[in-house]
Amino acid sequence: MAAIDTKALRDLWRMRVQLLAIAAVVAAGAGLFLAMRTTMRSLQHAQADYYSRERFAHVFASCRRAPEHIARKLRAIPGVQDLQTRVVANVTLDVPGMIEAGAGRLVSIPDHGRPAVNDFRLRSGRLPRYDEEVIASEAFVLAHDLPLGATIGAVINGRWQRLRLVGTALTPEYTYAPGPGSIFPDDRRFGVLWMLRRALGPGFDMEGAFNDVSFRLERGVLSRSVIQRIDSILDRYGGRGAIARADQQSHFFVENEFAQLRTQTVMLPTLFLFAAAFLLNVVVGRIVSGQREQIAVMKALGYHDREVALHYAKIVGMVVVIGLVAGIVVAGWLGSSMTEAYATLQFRFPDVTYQMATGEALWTAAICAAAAGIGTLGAIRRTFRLPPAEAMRPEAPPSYRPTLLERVGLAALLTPAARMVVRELERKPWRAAGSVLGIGMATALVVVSTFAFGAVQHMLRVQFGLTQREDVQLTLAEPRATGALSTLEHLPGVKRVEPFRSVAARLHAGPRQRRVAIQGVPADSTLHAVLDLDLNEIPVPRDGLLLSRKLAEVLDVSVSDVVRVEVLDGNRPTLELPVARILESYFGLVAVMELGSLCRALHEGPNLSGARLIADAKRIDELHRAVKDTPIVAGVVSKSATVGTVQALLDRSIGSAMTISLMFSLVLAFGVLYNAARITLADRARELASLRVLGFRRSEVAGILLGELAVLVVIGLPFGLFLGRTLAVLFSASPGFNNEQFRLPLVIEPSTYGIAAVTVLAAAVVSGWAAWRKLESVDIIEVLKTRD
Amino acid sequence: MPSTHEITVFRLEGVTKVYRMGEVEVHALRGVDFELYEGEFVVLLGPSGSGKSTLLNILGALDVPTDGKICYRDQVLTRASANTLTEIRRSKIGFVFQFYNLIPSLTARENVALVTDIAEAPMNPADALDLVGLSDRLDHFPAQLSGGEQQRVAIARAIAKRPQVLLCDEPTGALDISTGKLVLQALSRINAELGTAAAVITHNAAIAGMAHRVVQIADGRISHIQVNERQVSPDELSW
Repeated sequence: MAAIDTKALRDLWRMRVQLLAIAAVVAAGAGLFLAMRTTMRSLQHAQADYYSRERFAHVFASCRRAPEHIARKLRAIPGVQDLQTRVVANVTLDVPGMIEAGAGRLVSIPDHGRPAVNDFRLRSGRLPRYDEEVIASEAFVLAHDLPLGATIGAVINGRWQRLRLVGTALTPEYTYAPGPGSIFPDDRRFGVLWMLRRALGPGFDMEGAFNDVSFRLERGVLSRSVIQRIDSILDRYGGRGAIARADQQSHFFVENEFAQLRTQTVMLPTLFLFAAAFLLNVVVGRIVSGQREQIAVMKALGYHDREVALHYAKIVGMVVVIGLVAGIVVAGWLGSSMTEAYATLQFRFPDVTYQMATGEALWTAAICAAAAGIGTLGAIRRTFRLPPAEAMRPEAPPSYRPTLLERVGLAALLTPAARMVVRELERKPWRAAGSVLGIGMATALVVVSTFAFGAVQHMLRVQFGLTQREDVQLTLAEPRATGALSTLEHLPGVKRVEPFRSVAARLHAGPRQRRVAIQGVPADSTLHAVLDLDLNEIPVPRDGLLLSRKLAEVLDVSVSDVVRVEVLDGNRPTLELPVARILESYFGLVAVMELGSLCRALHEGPNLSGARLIADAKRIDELHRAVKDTPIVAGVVSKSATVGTVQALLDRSIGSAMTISLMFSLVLAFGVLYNAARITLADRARELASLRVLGFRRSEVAGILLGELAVLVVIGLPFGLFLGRTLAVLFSASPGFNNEQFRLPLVIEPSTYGIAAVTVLAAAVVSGWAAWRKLESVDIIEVLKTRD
Repeated sequence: MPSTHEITVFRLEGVTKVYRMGEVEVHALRGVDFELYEGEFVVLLGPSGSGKSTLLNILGALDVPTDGKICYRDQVLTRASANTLTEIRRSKIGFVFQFYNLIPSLTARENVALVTDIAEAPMNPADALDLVGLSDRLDHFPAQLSGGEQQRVAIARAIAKRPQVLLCDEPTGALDISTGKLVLQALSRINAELGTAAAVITHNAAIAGMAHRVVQIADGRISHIQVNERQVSPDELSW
């Protein structure tokens, strides 16, 4: 090996802890970036594969009842490649081992062969052969631990029927499957059941007819034009407005998870690589100034400038390569477990293989190299510019001057040691600024990766604490007159009942339109609160429409603008309604009207689609059992169960993400602080040793060293909290966290700031302690002998 | 004096050098004319700050003059590019510094190899170290060597490329007398056996006896040049 390379290796070894700290930061950045990118790629690949194998629809439409021969007309629409008509119905389920009623969605499958569109993946068992046989969604079966052959009760055509489980299946259509009346998926309380068309049709008055149709389009055909034609054909059959795949709930959920991942893929690794670039800048800068004489000697001995520069570039390169290799290893582990977790827990893709393409690794390497290049270009250029003769002379003493504090006459406030600290910081403001930035970034990373936890808690508090005040929500199989209310009032344990009406409608404002469910809420409602933008409860006005912030935003309307409402249920009137208020809701697109005026507008008598109940907690099981025997009820959602499910879901997904982020933040904070401490120590070893010779105690000398670190932390920490908040603003505004399904509010709990501060302070204490240990081991005499 | 003396290796005409150090402007050389001949041993004598180190740096192609002319054999170096200067240093010149300037992370052998790695027809590093009497210290790091040993490693490093010129800046400045003599013996031996021209800077007048010529420098100018008819062996020196 060439002697100059031996030198590079020995230099690396001498500064191993410092350089390893940097390599760890590089590894964190590269690892996160690569893991997230490859996870995305693997999942997108799996998704595309799943969609095409199961012939996932491009357009979805439903109607009240259309004769089967209409399918021919639909098929003739230009751009339609294939379609599948179905009968789909929501039913109440009686599942073995479950006290409360479950919600089921019965979906018909052809009597012979597989669906042409929206097929499912059979995961166990076989296809139904007899009328009473069903296949159920896998998650539902697993949640109940049901064996094949088990019987499930379902209310079909107003009476209980027994269905026999013969298989389990997965489908892209119900990856994310909230049941009726709920906005969160709940595998235990909601399941999809596929049964033969001939068995399902008669039960719902759908013989020779369908109420659901899905389409696959020819390549390159825009769904918008097809949707218009579908709607015009289905309109007279009670069409509820076709939707494109992009708006399909389950698909949207998956895409949205991807969008979140994309945001994180950009934001988090950028922080790390930025930090790595900065650390390399500081440390390599220090190496180069510390080796001024060695550089001069190499040049005097005849080494070319580029050979000397290359020598230092190799040192940097080694750090980056070590970081990169570690990053790739981390990415392989993190990526495959993330892919596995996403695929099985979130997306339920049947065939997922985690793949890390060489191209991805090379791309990561290029980004790391670029970050390192940006970080060290200046220092390496300095080796270039350093003339050999110049370097042979001792460096001119650095110029110090009284600090700002002293110039404004506050000198008396500072002890000599404090003056040393302050002057040093003022003399190298860029380095100090860099350290502050680094500490800030570590702090910000903790804030941005943990604030979502608190923000989601806030969302849940608003949704389940302020807005939804009922214990149980019942959804009727179809809208009924107010008389049904007394049936519900007499269910066991019910203390209070409040009706609601929900009606599908399309809202138009200029060229913009959205399909929503308008909620009819009683003016004196006590179980469902409407909140203004400051989260204060407001009365529901007798006239006009209340729109949630996001809905008003997408329709581009404000208070007193008129919205055209195309009702898609019942008599299907079209109304012109003014916007009465804008309200806050973090979930979905919400439109609310006073119940009475909604019913009047629909030209129907007092009507309800369901009711909210307050129930005696002690008699809740009794209530659930009774609901099962009430065929008019199609769905039941218990609030506490929903909160429990959602909480568990969040704890699992956000909890592990938070742990990983915290680990990475610690690496970052330690990397920055340890290097700051070591560099101070290296810069001032001689000075500190001189102080020891003059009779300063170790603790006093350590005070100067740690004082500098403390000042950096004291400035960097609040800056980081501010930076974290800024990033959180960007985060919560990004499409993955602010969309038509939900909005992550920008609520940062004090505890989030607390966690960030504690994390960074812990890293500071450890780094300071490590630097102090180093200071203890410094040999005073040796340091003074070296000409630095 | 060897017969080769009259062939000029370096020629300086009216060389001046001004440089800034911190906030001070230093006139290090104020018009120097000087020639260095093949195979000769020159001692440059002068008090500190007289400009002798600057002169050596310019001779060694480490630095370029602010004004005046410098030639290496027939090649004018006055406006030479950094690359040309590097090439000259790489192949023609060996340096010995007052503070040895060894790379602390490399052993004696590796410090010499640093030069032999890039030279055209170098000695074996071990042979070069043998020449300065350090064949038993090959794998010691600078921190494990005495000052004299370190300086002899520096000499081995300077001669291992078989340079035309050996430039030494206060080679004994940091050493005691007996160690200093060992170093001077090594230099003298290389001058005599390899025919390498040597220019040695010192403020120690006693060393002047070893030289073919003694050049006195004061206040950035050459004040006197003395030719020694007889050279004293380093053993006979005392200071």
